[in-house]
Amino acid sequence: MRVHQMSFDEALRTAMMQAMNADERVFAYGQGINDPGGFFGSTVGLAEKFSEARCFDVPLSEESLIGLGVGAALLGRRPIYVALRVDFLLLAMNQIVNHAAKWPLLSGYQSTVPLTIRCIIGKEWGQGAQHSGAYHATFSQVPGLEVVLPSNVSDAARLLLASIQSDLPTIFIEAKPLYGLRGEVELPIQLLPLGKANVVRQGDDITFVAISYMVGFAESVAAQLEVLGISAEVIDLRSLSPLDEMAIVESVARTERVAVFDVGWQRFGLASEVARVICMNASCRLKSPLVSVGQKWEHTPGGCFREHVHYPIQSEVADELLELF
Amino acid sequence: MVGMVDDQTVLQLYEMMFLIRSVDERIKKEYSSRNIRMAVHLSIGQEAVATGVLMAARRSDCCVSTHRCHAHYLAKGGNLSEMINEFYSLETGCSRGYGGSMHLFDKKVNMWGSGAIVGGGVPISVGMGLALKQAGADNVCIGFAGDGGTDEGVFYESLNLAALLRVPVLFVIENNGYSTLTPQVKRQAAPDVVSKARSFGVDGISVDGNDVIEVYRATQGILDSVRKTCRPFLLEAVTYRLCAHVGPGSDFGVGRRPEAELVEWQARDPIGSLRKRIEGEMPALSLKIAEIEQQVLAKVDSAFETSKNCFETINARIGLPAPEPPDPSKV
Repeated sequence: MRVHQMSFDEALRTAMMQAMNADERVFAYGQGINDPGGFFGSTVGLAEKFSEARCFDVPLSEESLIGLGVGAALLGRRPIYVALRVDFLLLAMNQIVNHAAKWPLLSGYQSTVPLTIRCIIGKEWGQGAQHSGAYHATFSQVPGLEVVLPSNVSDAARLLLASIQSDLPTIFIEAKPLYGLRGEVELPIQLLPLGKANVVRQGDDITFVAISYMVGFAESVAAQLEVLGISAEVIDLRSLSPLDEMAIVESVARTERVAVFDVGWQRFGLASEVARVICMNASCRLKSPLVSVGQKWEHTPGGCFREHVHYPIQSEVADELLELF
Repeated sequence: MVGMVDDQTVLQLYEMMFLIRSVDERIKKEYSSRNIRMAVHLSIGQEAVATGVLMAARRSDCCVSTHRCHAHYLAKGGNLSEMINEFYSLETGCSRGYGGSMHLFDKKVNMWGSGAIVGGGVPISVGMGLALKQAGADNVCIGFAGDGGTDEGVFYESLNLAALLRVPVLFVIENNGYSTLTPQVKRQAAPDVVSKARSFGVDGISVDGNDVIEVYRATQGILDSVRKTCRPFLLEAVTYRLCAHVGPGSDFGVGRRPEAELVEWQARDPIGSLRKRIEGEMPALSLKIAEIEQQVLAKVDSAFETSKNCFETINARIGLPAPEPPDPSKV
């Protein structure tokens, strides 16, 4: 086993290469997948290595493209569809929800749909309302789908490998800010089972439940609170579906305080789901109200200046949390 | 020989159409007992399309169907008893009781299921075609849709994708002229689906979907060509639904479909038409027809009786509420 320093895009590319090398049934497709930029670098070189038969460019036809993946997956192929923005997947909701997620049940669980959909949530430099939508909670409402949101380079590689190997349709959501990260990746990449949360920081006074780039945000807030004598535990859920409910319960039962750090909106999202888990578990008693950290309840304004105040600001969140104590 | 098709095949085509009809007619009868508790979309009147197309296909060819899938399932070789079990929601059903009448599945014969979101199965058939091409054998995926399916945008995306990726797919458009009660001319300014397919780079032809011999022979030629060229093709089969869109009733009369249409199409019933042709062109086979009909009816009867008994035993055990008396206005 060797440890390599990698950027986020390199880790994703390496995971795809490893999967395509190991299994000839794996193929990738998406709009502009073989462009020089190749999905922010994450698909560069795949067509050269595996031929355009296994990594091909496609038209702007999201619904039929997901249907294409469902059909191929039913016959045992392992397609990876790459979408540059989650917002465009809304065009394919019929195939994702009505077909990919339901076909196994409709066949009495005699079929599987091992389809992976990689997609990116835009953020920063003025992505605007139609390029920054965060619909992981929407997908997580659908039984039969898996929803994965990595927070760092190593996890991204390992979770992508698990998504490709999963027999269920899996939405693998990458947030654009993560593309700036570097980290260590062990080669060959070891699969990380879905549904296992990671305690990235231990603490006793409050639990931060976080996903995607908000894990890094929560860690910064935790560091800021530590100086003031408050010890926060940070849990990286890694996937919303399956959800590691026990990880939330075990931590909150001990700390009796919770804040949720979502890349989506403050309402009807991860915070609501964490509240359900806590309220339905007798061992969890909160000493103070749950705090929901996420996008304000409107769509993202265009341009960085307005965008800046749309997303949570670290110092403001820290102040809000201090008031709990 | 009837229309260049040998005697044995003609009898097989007749037997399959008669089987499909008999199953659906029996469903109509059993439906009033309210023990088949699901929406049923009967294929009565449209049997020649499924039969002609799928009996020309191989077992290793794949099929994706629609909500009106009874005929496709049977003509693809799907297991009869498991189909009836599925109507009674038994775990021995072809979809283990999870699919119901609109979602019939039999992997052993490459019947890969059916979707009830109109047009939704079309891109899936393109994906199956791609997988078959990647696997390297010369099998074809046959994707069924109705004229309603060609209202949907995803149908046109799928034509483009199939032509672009050069996948072995046969799109079969089973055109019965109606989306529930809305005729095609009220939904499409340019109804000719073959010319629409051609404009996307998919060749196609239109046939009389009530003439099983014509459908069978056309499909044989088309499948040979799709296997050789690995290019998609579209077959439009013009037919007519003799029963209601859903349920065992009919939907003719004021505000519904015109009665005159029913009379016209009853005269073109695919089963009656073939029987007449056999009697006229091959009188020696006429006796066989009666024999086949008896055998099929006995098989269907036995399958239904077995499923019903099993359903009643389970029903008694788990105590489902007793079936309410039938309400003719709702069935």
